[in-house]
Amino acid sequence: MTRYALRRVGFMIPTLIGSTFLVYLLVFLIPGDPVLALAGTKRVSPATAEAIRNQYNLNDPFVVQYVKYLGNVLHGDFGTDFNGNSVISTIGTALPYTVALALTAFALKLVIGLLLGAWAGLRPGRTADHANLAFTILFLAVPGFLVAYLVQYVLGIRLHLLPISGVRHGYPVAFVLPALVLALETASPLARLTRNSLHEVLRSDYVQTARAKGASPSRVLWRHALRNAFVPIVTYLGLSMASLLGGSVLVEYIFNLPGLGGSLAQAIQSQEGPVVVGISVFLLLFYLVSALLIDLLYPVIDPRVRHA
Amino acid sequence: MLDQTQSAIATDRTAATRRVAPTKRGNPTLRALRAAWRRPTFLVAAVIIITTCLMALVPALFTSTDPQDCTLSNSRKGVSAGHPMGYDMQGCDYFSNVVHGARTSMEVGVLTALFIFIVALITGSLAGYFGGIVDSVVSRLADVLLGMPVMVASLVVLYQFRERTIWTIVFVLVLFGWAGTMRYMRGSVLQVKNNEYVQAARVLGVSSLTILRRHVLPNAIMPLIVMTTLGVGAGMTAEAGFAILGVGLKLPAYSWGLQIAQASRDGNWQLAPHLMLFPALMLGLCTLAFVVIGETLRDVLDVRSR
Amino acid sequence: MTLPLLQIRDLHIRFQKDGAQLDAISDLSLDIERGSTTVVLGESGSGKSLTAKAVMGLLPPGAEVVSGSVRFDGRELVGLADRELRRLRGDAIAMIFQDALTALNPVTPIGNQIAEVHRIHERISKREAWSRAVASLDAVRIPDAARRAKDYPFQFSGGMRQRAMIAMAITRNPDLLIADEPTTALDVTVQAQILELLDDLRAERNLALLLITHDIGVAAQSADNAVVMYAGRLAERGTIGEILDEPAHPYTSGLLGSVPGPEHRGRDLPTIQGAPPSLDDLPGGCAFHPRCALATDVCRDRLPARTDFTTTHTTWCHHAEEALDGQPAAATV
Repeated sequence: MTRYALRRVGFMIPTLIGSTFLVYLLVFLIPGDPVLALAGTKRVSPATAEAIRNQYNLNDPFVVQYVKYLGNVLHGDFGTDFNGNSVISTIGTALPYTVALALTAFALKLVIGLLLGAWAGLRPGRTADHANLAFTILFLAVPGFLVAYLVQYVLGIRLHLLPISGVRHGYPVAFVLPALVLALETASPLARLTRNSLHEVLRSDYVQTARAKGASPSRVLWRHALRNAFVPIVTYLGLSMASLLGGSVLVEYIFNLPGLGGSLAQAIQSQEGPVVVGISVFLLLFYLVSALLIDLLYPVIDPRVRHA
Repeated sequence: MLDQTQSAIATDRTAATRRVAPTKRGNPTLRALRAAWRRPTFLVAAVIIITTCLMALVPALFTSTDPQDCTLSNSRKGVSAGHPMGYDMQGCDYFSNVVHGARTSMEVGVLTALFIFIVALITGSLAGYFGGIVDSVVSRLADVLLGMPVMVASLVVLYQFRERTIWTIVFVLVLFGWAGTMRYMRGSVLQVKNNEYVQAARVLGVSSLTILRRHVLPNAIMPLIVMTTLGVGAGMTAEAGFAILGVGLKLPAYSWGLQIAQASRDGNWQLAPHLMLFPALMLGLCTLAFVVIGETLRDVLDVRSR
Repeated sequence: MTLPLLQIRDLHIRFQKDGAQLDAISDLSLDIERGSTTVVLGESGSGKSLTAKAVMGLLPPGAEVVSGSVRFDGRELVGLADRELRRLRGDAIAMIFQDALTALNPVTPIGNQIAEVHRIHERISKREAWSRAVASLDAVRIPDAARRAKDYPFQFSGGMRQRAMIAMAITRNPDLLIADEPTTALDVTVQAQILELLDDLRAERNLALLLITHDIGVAAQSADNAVVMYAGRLAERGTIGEILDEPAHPYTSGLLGSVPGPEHRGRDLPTIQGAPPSLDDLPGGCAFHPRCALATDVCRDRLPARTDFTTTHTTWCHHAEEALDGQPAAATV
């Protein structure tokens, strides 16, 4: 178990370095002055430009720049924007909103995906199965933001049921629509996986053995079929939780939520390059760490991983 | 005696290069494709895609109105005679705009998918077939890329580029997107590589490149093609997403993404929903069509290969 | 004379495939005495596995018993409610399967799976169930049973896994154990051990064994009685001695003749020409006639009637006498 944990951590570190390096490379090694690029179309005073340059150690050789940057980041210093406000404070304010959204969306998606998938898995080939497939394909294909706009329009504007912008109404009211949109978007792979997993498990040999032991249908279903069907599902859920936490920029932007994604979009609008870079790098790290934590939970569920 | 053996081996080798493996070319694949055509959803999807391609290639077929022929007083007017999609914010015919937008959107989608296909094909087959250092390097790189949230990474990179053209967007999407498809291809190659007929060919001394070309690739390639079809829709969607966030193509380009983005700004679409509706509908239909094609192909091929 | 433990009479099972109704098993009659070992011999598609499942009431979806009777300990099982059947399964009648790796739940320790059988049939504490499980693992000669009971199926070797499955089957001391190809997936040496174990258990517990197999060697090693099936019907039935030494059906002779032995050295192995028919394409009359050296017109037209040689030895062949006299050579054309 510890060996597995060490391996996973050891695996994460080069990935972390690799991805931050790649992003850093693409941001700061572009032709032209990176500081000007960060500023977009804004006019920046030479003093501010110099301050930013120092902040990112742009006068140092490239690799040194990167190492210093990584060092700063790991200490929680994500730089400051053009007005001197620290990026980390923006991140700090925004984080709770993203987490709230991610958790709510996750819960909704679990309900939708598992129920639909299970219903289809228990009745293969019948209406439930076809409905599941149609749902899956539909939400897989239609872009998330379209669903967002549609939901906003129908439920928010036409029917005035729920707020479509901002967090004025607090939790959970303001989060219902965005969480719903995110859940719909990500429930399809879950529904399909649940259906397939369940279908396969129900036809497996050990289910037959369970019946041969005299187990009742409910025992066969709960203790044998579902227990096994869940293994790949949980694996998938882990990944998807990490990705939800990685911030849904579009949904937060469309629903005007001041989470990490929303702040990122906001920074793009206001041409605050350092904030864009800062939040992005934070999200990158956040995603990697979440994925690692969830990875470390697998041995708990699947004994085969525990002993491998 | 030695000559005889040598010429025998030579003949064997030629035979091996020509046809050792039961390649999946020919009957099974064609049969599968024909089965796909029989499905109604597949047909509908194909029609949608062909129509969109026509729109992209020959917009004149669909509209003779100049998309830039605008009268401000017509701003945001709805559907009316001669203007099936109404007018946009500048008072230009929206239908014409949307038709012209097809080209860019399709370009982004198709180019992204195409280049991901090429990169994944090459890297995946090299990594899978040769293993060793090549595999380590490629797989490590892929791991790094797969450990990054694509949207976030693309945003920050696109932000830095002042001039954003179709190629900029394609570049970013391919950069962050090839890893997943590569893994798929690599897996496929690994499976085929361990088949006996491939090992037989190697023993007979057939060159690696030839084996790759004639035996490994034809069998490993079908799943890749499925993923590529699915990728076109993803490319188009990404372009629109970037546009909405402000890091997409720059005006005065025409694309569905830009149109949706403009409609979404300042609540324009809430006043005039048709501004959002039409490009969104086109984008949605197209992505849906590509997904249906991809899924149907996967379905028919899956059953065959069992 | 005591009543046989299991009595099957004229069992007829039908099976749906692509809209067509197929006769998977017809006119099957069989007796199994307590404490005896009966082997059902046949190739794939002969209906032997289905017979086993029919006894347990575990027919796959699409298959159903059309007519006939299966009496266990005097009690009719055909038509019995599932709830009643469940009481018997695992308790009075148990079954083990071919591949222990897929037949055991991969994510539950073996001990729990065995204990589960007890908890299904009896209200006992987890601890009590567990100790019985360990005792069963011991009975099937798995070393260090107490520790190994906590292991998962994938941590066992093939032979051990099969033993564990046997432990699970016998833990409640059933009267009848049905084994569907129990040794097919195992190495020859392990096969022998498993068969020996089954035989010992049988002797210790007066357990009746119904062994399903296509392997004559298995039959020869363990059985008291044998039943040969072909295309869903009985071909021949008798004690193992009668079947091995005096086969009275061309199919049986063919099977026996194709077992490699020293007399075949240097020559081609005799086989039965042709292949077993698929159920949706059965030849008329006696299903074996296209492959039979003794076939005549009557074989094509009519199902063979039953011929009893002794109280135990019965065959279904139009040319039964000839089959009895002729030996392996008759079937190898």
